[in-house]
Amino acid sequence: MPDQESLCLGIDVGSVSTNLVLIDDHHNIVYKKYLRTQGQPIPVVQEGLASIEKTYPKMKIQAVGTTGSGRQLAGAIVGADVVKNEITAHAVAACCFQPDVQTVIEIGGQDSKIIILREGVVTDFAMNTVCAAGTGSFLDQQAARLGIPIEDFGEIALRSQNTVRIAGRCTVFAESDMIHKQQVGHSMADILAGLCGAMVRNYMNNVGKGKQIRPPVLFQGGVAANLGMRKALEEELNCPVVVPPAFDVMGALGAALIAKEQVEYSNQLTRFRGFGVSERSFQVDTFICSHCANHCEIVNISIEQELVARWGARCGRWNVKEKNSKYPHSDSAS
Amino acid sequence: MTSVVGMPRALAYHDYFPFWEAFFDGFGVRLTASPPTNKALVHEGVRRAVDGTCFPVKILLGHVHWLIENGYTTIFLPRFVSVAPKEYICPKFMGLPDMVQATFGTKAKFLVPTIDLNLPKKCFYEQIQTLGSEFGCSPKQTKLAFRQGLEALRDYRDALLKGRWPANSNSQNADNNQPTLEVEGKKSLKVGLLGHSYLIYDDFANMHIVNKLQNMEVEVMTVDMLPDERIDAQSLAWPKRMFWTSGRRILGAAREYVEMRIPGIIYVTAFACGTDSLTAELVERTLRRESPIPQLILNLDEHTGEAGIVTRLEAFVDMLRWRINR
Repeated sequence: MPDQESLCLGIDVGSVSTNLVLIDDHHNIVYKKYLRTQGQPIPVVQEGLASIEKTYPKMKIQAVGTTGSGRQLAGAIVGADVVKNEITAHAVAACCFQPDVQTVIEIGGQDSKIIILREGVVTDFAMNTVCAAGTGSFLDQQAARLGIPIEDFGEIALRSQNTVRIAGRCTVFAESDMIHKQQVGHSMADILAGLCGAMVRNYMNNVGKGKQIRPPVLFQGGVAANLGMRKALEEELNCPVVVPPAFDVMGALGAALIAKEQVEYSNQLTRFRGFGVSERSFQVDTFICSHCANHCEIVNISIEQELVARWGARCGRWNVKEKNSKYPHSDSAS
Repeated sequence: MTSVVGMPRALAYHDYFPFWEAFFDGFGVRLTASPPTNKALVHEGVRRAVDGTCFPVKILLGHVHWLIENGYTTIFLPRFVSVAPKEYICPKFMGLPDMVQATFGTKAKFLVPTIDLNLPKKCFYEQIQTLGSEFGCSPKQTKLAFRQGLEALRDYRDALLKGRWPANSNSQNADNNQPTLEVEGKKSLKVGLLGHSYLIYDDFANMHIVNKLQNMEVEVMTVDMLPDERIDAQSLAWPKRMFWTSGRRILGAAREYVEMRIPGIIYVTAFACGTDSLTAELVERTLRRESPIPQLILNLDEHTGEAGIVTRLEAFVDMLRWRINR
C-alpha cells in the first residue's frame, strides 16, 4: 500500500466532470476518482480530497497540479504548485502512456480538441470554436431525448447493422433529422450509430480540419467511454484508435505529471494546503467594480474570511497583496 | 466655427489618427479621440448595431455614441474607400458613415471626406481642400496643414516600425522599449501577430492578448514592425494580388515571418470579418503546407469570458517552448 509513500496529485476541474488522480514515483496511477462537477467546483474538489484522505490517511503529497476550465479556482483552494491549461496536460499524459503517440483526440463535455505530436513534442493543436455540436453534451442530450442511459449508448450503437446518416452540423438539425429517421422506422441501434458518425464528421470538419492525423491515435476524454464513437472514429480515420485505460482522467494525470516535474526541478516544497481543505469553509463572492467603464466582474476566494485569491480584473487595482499571493498566478488569467 | 472635433477611437483611427490630428492642428482645430474601448462603450455600440455587422463596427458605434453623449457636436468620420492605387479597404468602411448617420441621425454634424486614392490624386486634394474651407482655411494654409499631417504620419509609422506601441495601448509602453526579454531558464520567444490594426491595438477588443503574451515572457511582433519594402515584396510572392490593403499587408507579413523563421504566428480576427474569411484561410492553408511554423487563429467577439483565449494562448506558448527546448 502506498500509505507512507509520497504521491503527486492531479486535479482536472472540467465543465462536466472533476477528476482526481494520484501517481507514484514511477508515474503509475495508484488512485483515481471521477466526480460530476454539477456546477459546484469547490464542494466537488473538497469531496474528492476527503475521499483520498479516507483511503490513504497517512499519505504524503509531494506536488499538486490543477487543470481544466476550473483550474484557477481549484488551484487557489488546494494550493497548487502548477496550474496548467488542458491542452498541455492532455499531451503530457498521452506521451506518458504511449511515448510514440502522434495524434490525440480528446472529446469532453463542452469542448473537443485535437493535439498533433511528433517525436514527443506538440506541433499543432486545435479546439472547437463557437459551436459545441462536436462534444459530449451533444451525445448526452440526444441520449436523454431517446430515453437511454448514456452509459449504454456505445454498446447499443455497436449492434447497428445499417447505420443511418444523420446531419451533424448542428444539434438542432441533428435532432430534427433523428426524429424523422425514428418516424420512418429505423432501429435505435442504427440511429445511435448514425449519431456517432455525425459527431465524428462534425469533429473532423471543425476541429480536425487541415490536421495531419497519423497513427498511433489516442482517444481520451469522457466520450472515449463510448464504444460507438471509437468505432466511428476508426472507420473515419482508417486506422486503429487506442483508448488508454485512464482515458477519463488523462487531464488530471497530465497535471500530476507536470506538478511532479516542476517540484522536483525547482526542489521546492509543495504549496499544498493539506487535506484539511476539505473541511474548511470557502467563500466565493463576486462584485462588479465600478471604478471605470469596464465594469469588471471580480471574484474573491476566501478561506474562513481570509482572502486567498482574486481574479477577474482587467487592471492591477484588485491584485491580492503580496503576503497572500503565494498562489500560482503567473499561469492564470488574473 | 467649431474648434474641437471628435473622432471615434476605432477602425481607421488606429492607422491614421496622428495624420488627422496634425492636419486639423494646422488650422487651429483640436481633434480629440474618444477614450480607449471599454465595456460600457461596447455595450452601447452593440445595442445600436444591426446584427450581422462585425465586432469592430459595433465598437465604432459605441465610440460615436460616447462622443455624442459627451457633447461633441462635430464628429470626424472619413469615408475610406482606398488608400493606395488599385487597392481597396474593407467595404464596410465605405458604408460606415452612412451606417453611423442612419443610426445617430442629426445628433451631431458628421464631417465625411471621401478618401479614395484609386481616383486621380486631384480628387483627393479636392476633398482635403473642402475640409479646410469648412473651417475657413485658405488653400495655401490647408496645403501646409496637409504636409504637417503627412510628417506626423511618417513619425508615427517610424515609431511603430521600431517596435513602439501606440500610446493608447496598455501594452509594452512606448518609453519602455526594452530589447529581447531573456529570462532565466527560458529562451526568449518571439511570436508574430497578424490581424487588422483595430484589433491588434485595441486592448479591450483583443482581450489584452499582447499583455498576456508579454506576461508569459513572449516578445510580440506586429505587421507594422516590418518594413514596408519587405511587406510589399513578400505580398507579391502570393499567386494573386490581394486587393484589400490590410489583407495584402497581412499576407506579406505572413511570408516575411516565415522567412524570419519566427517561432510562432497568431492570427487575430473578429468573428464575421468579411476580408479575413479569405485572408485568414489563405494564410492558414498556405503556411501549413509550406512551413513548419505553428499558427494559432484567435476569433474574437463580444464575449468577455477570457478562459477560452487564455487556454489557447497558454497552450500555444507551452508548445512553442517545448519545441524550442528540444
